[in-house]
Amino acid sequence: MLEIINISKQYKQTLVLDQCSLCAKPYQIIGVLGLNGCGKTTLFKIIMGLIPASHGEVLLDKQALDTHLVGYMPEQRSLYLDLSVFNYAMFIGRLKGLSDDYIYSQLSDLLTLFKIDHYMHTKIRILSKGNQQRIQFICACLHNPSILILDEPFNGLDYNSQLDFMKMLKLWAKQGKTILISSHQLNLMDDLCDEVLILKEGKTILSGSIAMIRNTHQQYRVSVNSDSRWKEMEIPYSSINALIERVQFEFSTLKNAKRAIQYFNKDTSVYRLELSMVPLSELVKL
Amino acid sequence: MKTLILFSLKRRFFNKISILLEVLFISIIVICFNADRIIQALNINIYQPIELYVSTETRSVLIDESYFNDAGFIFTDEKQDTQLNYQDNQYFVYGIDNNMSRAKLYGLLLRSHQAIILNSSHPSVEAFITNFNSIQVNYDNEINDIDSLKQTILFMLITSVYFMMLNFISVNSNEIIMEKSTNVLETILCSVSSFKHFMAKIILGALTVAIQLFTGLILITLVIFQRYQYDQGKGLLEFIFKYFNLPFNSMSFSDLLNLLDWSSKEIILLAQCLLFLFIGLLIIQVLILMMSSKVKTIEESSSIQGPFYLVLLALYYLALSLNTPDQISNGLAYILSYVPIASMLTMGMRLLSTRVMLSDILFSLSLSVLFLFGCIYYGFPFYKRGLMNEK
Repeated sequence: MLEIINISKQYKQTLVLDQCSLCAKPYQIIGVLGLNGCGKTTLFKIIMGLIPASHGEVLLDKQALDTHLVGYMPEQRSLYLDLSVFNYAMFIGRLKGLSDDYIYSQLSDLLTLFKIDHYMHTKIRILSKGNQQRIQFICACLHNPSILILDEPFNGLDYNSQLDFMKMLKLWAKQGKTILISSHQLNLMDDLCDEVLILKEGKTILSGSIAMIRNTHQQYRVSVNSDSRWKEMEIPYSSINALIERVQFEFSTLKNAKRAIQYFNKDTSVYRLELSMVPLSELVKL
Repeated sequence: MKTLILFSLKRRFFNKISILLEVLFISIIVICFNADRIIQALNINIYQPIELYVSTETRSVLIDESYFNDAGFIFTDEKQDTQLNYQDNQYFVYGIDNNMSRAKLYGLLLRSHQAIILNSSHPSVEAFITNFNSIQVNYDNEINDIDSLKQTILFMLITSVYFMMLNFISVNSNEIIMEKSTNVLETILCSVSSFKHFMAKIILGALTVAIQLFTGLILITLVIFQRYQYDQGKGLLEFIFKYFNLPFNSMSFSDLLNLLDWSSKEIILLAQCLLFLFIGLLIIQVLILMMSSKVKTIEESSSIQGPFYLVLLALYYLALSLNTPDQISNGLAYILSYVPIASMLTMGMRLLSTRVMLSDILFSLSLSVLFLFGCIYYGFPFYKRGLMNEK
């Protein structure tokens, strides 16, 4: 079990991460979410030992984490473009202390899994962005790590590739791997992750299973057309968002949302009335 | 266009690295142009005079002692290895084995001789003129051309290795910037520690020099062998004899080797020189790595290389200008032979020109090694922070 205990990071006067904690078990996919600059990448770098934490510790099974057991895929493309896929994988594999035979067999299997085995000896420069991203992921997994840390792995992938990638991650999680993932594609994360850690300006604002977060923090949204008599509605709401064509009310209880529906049903000027749950992407903005 | 030019200029000259190096460069220039004042303030005696044992009888035939003192000689009554004796109208000099000191002493002895001539009677004008400009000075040992040639060859070899270093200043710096700009560094550092990365780069730099040296030696050997097969090198040595006025007339390569008579003494000397050079190189490597780790852009990378080239060239020319017997035995070159980095050339010069005590060699070597470990110890945290662009 991977435990991140009270990790803080301070650069001079700026607190980038503040007492961030997380517990990740095998078979779990945990999403680290938040807006740009909230501290996701810093947290991943601290876990990988790339930068020191100002406070806190990272443990695996109650012992200091050996980063050789982790497969890390950084946010930015991290490849020698002038090398072939094979040569780059050999370089990374040898750095990790793997034998040439093992690297070759792992590389072949992973390339086949991603259906790009014909690129084995192709220069990375020639590959598309999506395929470069796949190669980077493959190289992070060459040593068959038990923990995967993926920083924005969906960047540069088209929608179908994203779905394929997600299937792969789910499959690997079922095999007992622990996966920590950050992404801006929150719609995907909603479906992919078992648990999430939501950061805002370095602070943890929500953490736990998505179901639990929905139960405790879920908001219900009622949308009506903007020329209705929405200003006269007196049912208490948690927030209101007046857009050009519609107005969105958010209610913290289903009861109040239903009362609002009943209220707008009586309004003859209403031609648009919707009740929905606020998606995970909106929760991140909390 | 103006925006583009200003943008590029700003990136090239107004980055932290450029400004830091500019400050360093200015500091070095200021130090160089105020060297005399600094030395005076630090109370360092650069020009240590040569103590010369001169007997009372000999003193009576010499000009005033103050002339000798001005030229860097102090008379002493205690027996020394360096001695000056006058006997049967001849001067005997012991223990002075460099040309510059001999030339100075010769001038002073000639003046002494002329003073004696002027104060004595002469049978004829002819005898006066003949005697006036001729004195007989005998030295305990002769500085022969072959020894000088050996020293020149060894010094050429050392400076060649030194200049190889200029080549990989850019290699190491560019390699780090490439690893940083392609973000491969993050991937590498997930598999190896930053200390291993640091050490790997230092070893890589040293290996580069060693491989270049080895390859160069093999190439030169092959070319010499090829030339030997053709005419045993006679034509080439004759050409050198003709244009460079060296004593190689009608010689083959094997004759030259026999003439030079390389002994184990010279090989040990070369090994000592190369050891100093090698440690100096490692220190330079560590400094370059520290600076390069802070580099974030190609422009910053180029701004590191420029000043390092200049500093190393300046060191080379300084060493050349100090390559005189006086400087090496008593002057600034003597002091610099104990200063890490500078010692990689100046100690080599000392070893080639004079007899250096083993304790001096070990002391200078210890200082360099300590400085190297200091650079590694204190430089590593700086390097580590720089690698990950940590503020």
